Amino acid sequence: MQGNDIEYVLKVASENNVKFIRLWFTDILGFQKSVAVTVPQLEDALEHGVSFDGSSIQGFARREESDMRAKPDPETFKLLPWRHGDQGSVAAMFCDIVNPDGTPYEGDPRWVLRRTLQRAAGLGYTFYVGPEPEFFYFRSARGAPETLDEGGYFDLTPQDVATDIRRDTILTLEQMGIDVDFSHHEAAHSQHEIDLRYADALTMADGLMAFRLVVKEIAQKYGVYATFMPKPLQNHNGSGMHFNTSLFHGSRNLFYDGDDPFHLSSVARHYIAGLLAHIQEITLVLNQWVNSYKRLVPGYEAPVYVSWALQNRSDLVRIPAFHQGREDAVRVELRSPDPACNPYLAFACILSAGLDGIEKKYELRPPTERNVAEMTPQERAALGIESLPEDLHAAIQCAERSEFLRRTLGDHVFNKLIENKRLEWDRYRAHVSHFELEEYLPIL
Amino acid sequence: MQRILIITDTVKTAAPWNQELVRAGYPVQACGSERAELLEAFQPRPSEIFILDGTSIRLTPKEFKEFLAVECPNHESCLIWLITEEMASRLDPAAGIDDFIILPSSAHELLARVRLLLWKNHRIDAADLILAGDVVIDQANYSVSVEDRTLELTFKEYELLRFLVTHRGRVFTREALLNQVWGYDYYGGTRTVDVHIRRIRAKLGVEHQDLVETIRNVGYRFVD
Repeated sequence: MQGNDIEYVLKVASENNVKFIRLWFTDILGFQKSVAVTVPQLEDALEHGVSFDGSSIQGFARREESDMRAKPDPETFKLLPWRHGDQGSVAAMFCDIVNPDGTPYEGDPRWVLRRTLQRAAGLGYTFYVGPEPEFFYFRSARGAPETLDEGGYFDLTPQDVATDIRRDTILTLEQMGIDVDFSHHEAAHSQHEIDLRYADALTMADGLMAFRLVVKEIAQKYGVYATFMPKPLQNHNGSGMHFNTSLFHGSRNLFYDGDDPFHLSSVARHYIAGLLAHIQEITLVLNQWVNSYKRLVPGYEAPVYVSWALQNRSDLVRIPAFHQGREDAVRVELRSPDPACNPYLAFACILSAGLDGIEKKYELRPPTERNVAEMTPQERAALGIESLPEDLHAAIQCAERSEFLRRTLGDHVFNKLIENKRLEWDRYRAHVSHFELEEYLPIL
Repeated sequence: MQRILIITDTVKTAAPWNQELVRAGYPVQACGSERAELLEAFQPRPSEIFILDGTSIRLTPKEFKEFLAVECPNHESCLIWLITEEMASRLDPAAGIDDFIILPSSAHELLARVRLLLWKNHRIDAADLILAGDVVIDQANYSVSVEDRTLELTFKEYELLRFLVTHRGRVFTREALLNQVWGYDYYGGTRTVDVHIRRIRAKLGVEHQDLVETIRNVGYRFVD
């Protein structure tokens, strides 16, 4: 039976004079891919999907199994506000990737997340995520990054020339059904943060893909370049993307317990313990680039150690302050991920780690009460506080030994990711950097 | 449009009716009475109207309703039972049916009964318009307008508002709304309902946002 939702999409497309529909999907590294169809092709695309050659997509098929289909999810249909004019409009839909026989394609990150969400649903859990992505505006994508302003945290001054761009970005996001909670100038020059209102993880992963596109599109409209590169400026804070996560059963927040001194339930404690136990294995997914590790260094607010705390803002996991009457808002904030991750795989890894903690009842050690960064290595060791992987190579090593990560991503994505990241590391370590030339050439 | 499921073992019965209902714009599906067939037909969400052919299958309305209640708790639907004259003579008024038709009958009668039920239960008229004060829902065109202003709704917003309007005055929990609009296998969770209600209110506008009322600690209702 043709669903009402398909009819609805066809109706909205024709009413809004839509000329093209972009079918969006994501490769394993989180790059958005797009196939465009016209309205006459739309109905067939909705029912049967659109075939494409998967061998040209990063982390997808080998050449001999390259015939795949992108099947648009009608619920994700949206008009692209910046492509709306007299000549017609452009719409987009997120797709699931399926094999020629219609089964889900194991290399599709959206499927990896769906599978993990199904595991949670089997336990009666719904996983919500509220992300806090940060990014920079620069004058151009090429050459040394040139900031637009010298503003700082929460600054609202004429220096914040990006205010208009940010406002336009937020309005566009809201037109696309992506709700914004909060936005402000961040600590570094030309750095901004737009916090998205929580949603279930699949909606949010789609939302983040659209978010990155909108931020870049609107920046381009104003002649500037927006980047989610984790650490573009050496002596300034990098861009992170904290995730506020919670598990609900129906309307009940499973992380809340009124009788606990921290208002944290045992589910929340096991969940946090799961995150801490598996964080080193999943760091390759949460921080997937050579550059990601330039952010995760001491001295810049980014987490470096595997610790959790109630208020302290430098720990890996933080429990934001509880406010009476806001039981729903009790949540676990993970602070290591950066905005250049693949949100589907990141959410799958985080949820899977938390679920392992809950199912296997991992014990949670007490929260740290002092700044972990100020402890001596001996003090940290005495408390059992380890470090996050220091660079991409260390992250690859933690990941490739992990049966947990293999199980979460599935063999295909796991193998492809490790293979791809090894190549990146090999290229990086053979590179002679500016640092080396400056340091060594004059003296050696 | 309300979706219709015809449960019958006789393809001959279903075919002409199917045609007539489809011509009138209703999405129609037919299936047999085996458990597995029914479960598949309930995907992703069960229909709003069931037509149970009592002349070709043994499953009684009571058994069917019990099955539905177990598989899809709190699902809102109505049931028309097709019976023989002999069955009508000993019809149990408490069997859980909303209406019955004695076979042989015509497709026109069936369509008329469906429309009568939709009017009685949901105030949906023959042109598939639903009027609720200043709010008009045109089911045939999937559009909602408030005082002649057309709302730009997403499909789920449309379906949620339509469900509340067609069940106006009744309070539904978030779970019930989630099951009814998103389906039983949806893992997005009930807070999704809150998000959609907020957006619907914003689109209804300041003057009309109170039409969707929050009932504290219970859920939502459309104010009649």
